[in-house]
Amino acid sequence: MKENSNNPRRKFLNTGLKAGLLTAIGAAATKAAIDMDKAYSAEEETVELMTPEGKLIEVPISQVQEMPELKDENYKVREGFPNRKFVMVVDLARCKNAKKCITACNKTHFITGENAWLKVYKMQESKHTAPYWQPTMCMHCDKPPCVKVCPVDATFKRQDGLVLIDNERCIGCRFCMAACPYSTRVFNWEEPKQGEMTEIHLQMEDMGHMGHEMHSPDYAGFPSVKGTVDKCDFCPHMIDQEELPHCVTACPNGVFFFGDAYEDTVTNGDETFRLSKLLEEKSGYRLMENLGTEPNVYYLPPSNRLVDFEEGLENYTEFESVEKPDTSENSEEL
Amino acid sequence: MKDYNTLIKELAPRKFTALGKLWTGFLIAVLVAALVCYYFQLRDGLIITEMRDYALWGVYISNFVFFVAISLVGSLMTAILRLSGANWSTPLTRISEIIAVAAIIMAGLTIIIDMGRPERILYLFTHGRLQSPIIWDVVVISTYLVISLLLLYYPLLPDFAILKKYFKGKNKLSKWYGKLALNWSGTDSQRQIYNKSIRILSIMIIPVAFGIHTVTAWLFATTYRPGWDSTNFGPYFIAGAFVAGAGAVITIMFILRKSHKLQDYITDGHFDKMGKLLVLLCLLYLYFNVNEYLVPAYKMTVEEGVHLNELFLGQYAALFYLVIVGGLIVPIIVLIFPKGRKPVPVFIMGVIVVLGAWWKRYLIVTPTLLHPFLPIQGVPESWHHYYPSTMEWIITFGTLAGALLIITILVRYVPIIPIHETAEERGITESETTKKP
Amino acid sequence: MRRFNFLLCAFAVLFVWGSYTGHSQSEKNRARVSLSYESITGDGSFLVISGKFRGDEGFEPANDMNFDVYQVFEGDSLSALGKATTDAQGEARFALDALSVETANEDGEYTLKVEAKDNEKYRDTDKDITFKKSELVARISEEGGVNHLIATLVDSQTNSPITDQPLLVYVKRLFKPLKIGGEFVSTDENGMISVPVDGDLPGLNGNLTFEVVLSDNDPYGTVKARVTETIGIPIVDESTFNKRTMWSPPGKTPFFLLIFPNLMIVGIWATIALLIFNLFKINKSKS
Repeated sequence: MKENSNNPRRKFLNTGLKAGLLTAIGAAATKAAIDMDKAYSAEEETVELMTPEGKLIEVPISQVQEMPELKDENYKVREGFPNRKFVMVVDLARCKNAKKCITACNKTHFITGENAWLKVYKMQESKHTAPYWQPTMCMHCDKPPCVKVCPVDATFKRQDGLVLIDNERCIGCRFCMAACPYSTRVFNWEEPKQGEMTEIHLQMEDMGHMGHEMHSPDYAGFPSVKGTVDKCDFCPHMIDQEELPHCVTACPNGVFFFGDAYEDTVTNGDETFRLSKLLEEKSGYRLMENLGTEPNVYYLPPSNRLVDFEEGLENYTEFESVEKPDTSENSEEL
Repeated sequence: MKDYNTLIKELAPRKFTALGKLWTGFLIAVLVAALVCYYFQLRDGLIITEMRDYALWGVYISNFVFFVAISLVGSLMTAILRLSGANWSTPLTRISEIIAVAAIIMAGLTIIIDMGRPERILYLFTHGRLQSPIIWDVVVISTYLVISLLLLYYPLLPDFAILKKYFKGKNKLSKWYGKLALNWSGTDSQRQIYNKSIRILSIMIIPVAFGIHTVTAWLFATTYRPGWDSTNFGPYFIAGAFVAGAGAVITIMFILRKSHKLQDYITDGHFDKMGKLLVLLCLLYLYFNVNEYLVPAYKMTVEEGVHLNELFLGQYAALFYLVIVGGLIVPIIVLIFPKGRKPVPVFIMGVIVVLGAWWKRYLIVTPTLLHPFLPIQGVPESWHHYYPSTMEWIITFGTLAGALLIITILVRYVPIIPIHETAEERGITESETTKKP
Repeated sequence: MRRFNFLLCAFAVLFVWGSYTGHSQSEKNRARVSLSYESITGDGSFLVISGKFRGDEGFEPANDMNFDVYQVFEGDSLSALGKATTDAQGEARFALDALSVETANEDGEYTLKVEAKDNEKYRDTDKDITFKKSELVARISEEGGVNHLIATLVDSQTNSPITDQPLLVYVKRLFKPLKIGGEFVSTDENGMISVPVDGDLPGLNGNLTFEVVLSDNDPYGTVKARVTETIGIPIVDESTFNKRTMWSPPGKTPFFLLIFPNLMIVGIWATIALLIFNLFKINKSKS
């Protein structure tokens, strides 16, 4: 029990697998997730569902619970969610380099290398302009230079705007990294030290017999693959459950807003705005607009700041973005 | 005038001398060391190199560009000079073609060495995207390799026939030469096909050669990176490739002239002419360098400025001036004087030019990557710099040794100077000699 | 006030529990249970039970708690309504469709009680709640060329309007609902609100789902009503996904890139094939 509830990775796994599993069962069950093993005496209508362990159980319909899922039976990982366009807004006026986003991202994507996918840059354009903190992740460009140059279709652009990587396809030429002007892509120079992943790996292999893909580009870092490229994936596994990406929910200052540009709405969890109004009122802009990459991450300028730039300095580590200590020990225990 | 038999005797392949064996052994030793290191790279990943997320390409890629550059010499010597009627280059065509074949083979292997997942190489064909310059490179390199092999092989047909006869009864190789000669007997119909084919090859190799190096330049120029983002890059690379290739030919022809005593065939005049050619090519390349560096330096935009400062005044400055001055300006000055075009100084200049060309590619690839648009932050201090690791060096030397080994083996079994063409140009015919046995 | 009571209660419980743990061998958790009443017009009404406990990393959801749900009548007599079990989020929604109007007291109030028996994970606990039922109805109507969301809130027992209560109006969106009509809109003397709807809100096929919420009210609990109307701007997919672009997969390569490079490749390789064929011809044509 203790192990179960104290292991956020396990939880993540369960939800992830549930989603995949239910897709495999078919359309009838895809909208539902259940509480397993509850025997009820009432002569209720029952449905048959498959547990993550792969056994069929019969449960009363009242115990079948709605679990939001964007994926339907037509969902294909290389196509994405129809009629969606995911977009992020980063309010620089609120960022004080608390770095909770980085920690959350590293943890949930099992980042074990030296270079985080999401980093908070200490920026200062020139001597007399103000310094500020700039969180930077994959921009999921509409005209992605990385996808343009990929020789084997390993990194691809989906209809919902996400740029993802198929680590089973990537040949490790690193041309995409050279092409990306935002330096957002990282390479697995060695076998990723995702120690606890072996367990996950075995489970995924079990799932393989049921048609669940071993690696899926919408679970970046799950696991990371030696000799291939990784990067921020905008957390499609969270989007699928109608949840916000981990960096958004982790931020104590509400810096990150995420949403569907077609719905013209972004939210940081607490506040929800119309994207167009937010960008208009706060003079939103995108990084390196002149390059024509058309990023899907917007920035709100660091004016009328709610926080002190200096406050972030104590957190600033120029040479580290992935915290090293105790992660490996922890993972060995699990 | 030499008679036919002396000609063949002087030009037929010879067994390795003791020095030749030592040299071959040395190359094999380097190759084995490189293979061992490559095994570690396969096992542990590219972590054994000093490349990291910022310096994401390193010496492997610059070495690859170097090989591609060198391989262009095949088209320069055999095609451009031949088509322009410069017959003096005939004795050098075989050497050039051998160099070209060796270089293009190693270029292909080097790019595989750089891959994080070499076992997925077939995806390039099964999932290839025509939008990617890498696919263009794959197509054009394999095309160039086949054309280079054909251009090496076609002129060898009569030579193989000659060697078959020459070694008959003396050497087991005779049988092999016979097979490779494809029943060549110099009939009119054979000659007709032969001449036509070589003409087609000579013409076709020029656009493909330009293509291969232009596409290689585009691997860099199609990115936004300062230092690479240049419309000048294709011709700049081609000019540089001709310099490197001419230098390589000079170096090899000097060594072979010494080792195989070919003074009668590769004369001082050839060195004089190659010296002149090298001056011309160096001047052309210098012109492109001026464009490449001085135009952005005039503007000094922020991104280009950081990059150029690092080259002109920063940590790469010493190497930069060594390459520009040593690898271009000194050869121009030395070779412009007739005294500088004697074999030994030309040879020294050739070696300098090749070394300069190698480091020049290093300077094109590495510094740019260390000056991205966003500052380098959140990575270990060592990731801010790049210098190849020992294993990386060994693997790189292994590819160079591999190229030299291919050249050495070809030199052992193939006439370095085209026997048939030389005989024809000099008006020595077989019939003449058979008359007086 | 209620929250304060809860805290007080929690502290008291913690205190008592703390003095016991010294003797107790078991490592059972003391779950904190909270109840709320929720009614969604058209979907029925629910008792929402949520449990959490203090774990090593702060509060964690108490899943798999089994509750018995009772209705409490005057004189503390109980009538069992059913059972509920919390899910992975520590929440259980118990449908109250069976709760008939006659069982309310004269003020129209209902009192429910949940009890969890001691099990291998959690200690026994109970909790009760008192609430009233109401009806919330929402509709869209056009006034002067502008669409308005009109909502009416009425007490179920007395059928009289509930006045001066703040209602929140949202448009349903993927992650979090988007608030429209300002911070607080309160019901008037007819229990009604009218909120203008922006004309430029996008929705799939122009459909917009609005939700009116009386949030966490005493005694009416949380009351929601939804209405969907085609008054939005239809979403137009602007993705280049189905176009032939430079960033498309191999199947959607732009035509010029398919035609010209392939022409060149075919041209050159046909010539190469010819040249190789010529080698055969040379081989064959010996005299």
